[in-house]
Amino acid sequence: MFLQQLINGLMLGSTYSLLAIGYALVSGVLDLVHIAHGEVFMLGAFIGLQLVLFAKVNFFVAMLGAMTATLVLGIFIERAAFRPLQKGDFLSPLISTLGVALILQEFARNVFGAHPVGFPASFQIKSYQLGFLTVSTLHLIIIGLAFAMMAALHLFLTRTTFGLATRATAENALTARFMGINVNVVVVATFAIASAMAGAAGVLLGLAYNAITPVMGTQIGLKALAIIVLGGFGNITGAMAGGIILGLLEVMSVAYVSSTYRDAFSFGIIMLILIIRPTGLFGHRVHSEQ
Amino acid sequence: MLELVEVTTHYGPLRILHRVSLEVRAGEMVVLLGGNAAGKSTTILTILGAVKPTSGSVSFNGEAITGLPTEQIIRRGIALVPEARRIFRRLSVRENLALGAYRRRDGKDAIGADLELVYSLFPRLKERERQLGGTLSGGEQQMLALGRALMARPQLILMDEPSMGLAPALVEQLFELIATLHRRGLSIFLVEQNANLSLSIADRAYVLQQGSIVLSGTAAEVLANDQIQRAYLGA
Repeated sequence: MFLQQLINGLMLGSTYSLLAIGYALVSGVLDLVHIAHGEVFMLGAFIGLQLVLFAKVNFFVAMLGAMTATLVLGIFIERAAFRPLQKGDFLSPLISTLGVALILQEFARNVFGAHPVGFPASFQIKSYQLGFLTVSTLHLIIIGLAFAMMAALHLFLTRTTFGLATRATAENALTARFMGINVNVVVVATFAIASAMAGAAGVLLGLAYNAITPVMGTQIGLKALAIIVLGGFGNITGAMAGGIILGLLEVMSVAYVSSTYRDAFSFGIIMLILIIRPTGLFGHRVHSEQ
Repeated sequence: MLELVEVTTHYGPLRILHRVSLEVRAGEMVVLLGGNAAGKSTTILTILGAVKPTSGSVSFNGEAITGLPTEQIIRRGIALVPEARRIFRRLSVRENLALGAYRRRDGKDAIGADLELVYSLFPRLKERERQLGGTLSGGEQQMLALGRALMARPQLILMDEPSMGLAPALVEQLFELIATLHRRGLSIFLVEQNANLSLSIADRAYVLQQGSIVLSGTAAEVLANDQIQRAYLGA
């Protein structure tokens, strides 16, 4: 059923988008790839799960708790793995965040175990039958929350002065300084926002698939990287569209092609799009500085 | 207002500025002349804290600003019209202007009034207020860079070679406008290669050669100097 797959794809894609737009935000502001972003997402999923299992809080409180924890983690990563390396080689932060990724992954494996775990079944999922469509509360919660957060980020970036300063910094940090913008504050805020969104995405995806593992950050993080390149590096709208596209491609390929070729199929399509549009869907043509 | 005392700047082992001293008094328009690689842009970057001097001091309104972060120096009331304009190409004209007023804390009304002022000075910018900066022509981008600096309501504007890359007719228009702003009381520190035009509108001038000030005086004195006549004006 095509419409049913569309809704499933939208659910998966909206969590990808949520992870990817934060990634795009950080990449755009720093002109760098933050390898550990996927691990922040993974820890968000684990923290949300722990809060549900041991603190017995409801799902929404758990998600807020996970977001707060990953927000703090993001600020810490900026301090430890980016700020001290500003004057170094442009590859140094790549390696330092790879280090952070490995540390977080092994930490998660040792503390939470390597076996996939999931949210308890006590989450009552109601399903609604709309003609031949099945829409569950899971679909509604995930799609609703993901889009609400993306809309909030959009409003922040386009309607607030600090959001404008963030976009200016993403385009050119030195010129932003000439405007009186404190670029360090923008960078920290960007890390905080992106990491909180990654934490939320982790909890939502954990809820959707019920298979939280320490390596999910690497798998999904790589997809998020593909998404932000597909969308046009550093472009927020592109990252959102790219996430939805990948989610739809994966679900459709499982439904209509073959589940064992899911990633090969969807990445094949991404390659095709990039061959046609090397700067990504929403990429701006590269222009030389000065 | 702005004072540099014996400023020396290096890029790595390379000395760019050597004991440069200069001053801009309130309400003055001062031009710093020099050829390519004389150290003009470095002088601006040093004033703004984007390059740290090896020795010497920079002060603004009597307070030392040497070594402060760029954004703090800007917040004290200095605005920049950067070399090659450096407008935000992915932001709209209006957003570029709003960023000029970023450091201001005197309220939306005052900023809105200045936006109208900039639009009355450059009606073209108002027509294009929703367009992205990157879609403007070179001349329009220069207007935007100047308008953005004015939005800061600065005490002092630094201009780094505003004539660069503009057609001669546009350069003349631009200098007329700069002269008008100066007559209205704005303090201006202009860095230029175009000696003739800038000396015609400036109060005083310094000449920079290989990182050292080799000549200074009133614009008329510098204009009358034989060396300047030969080096810059082709006389």
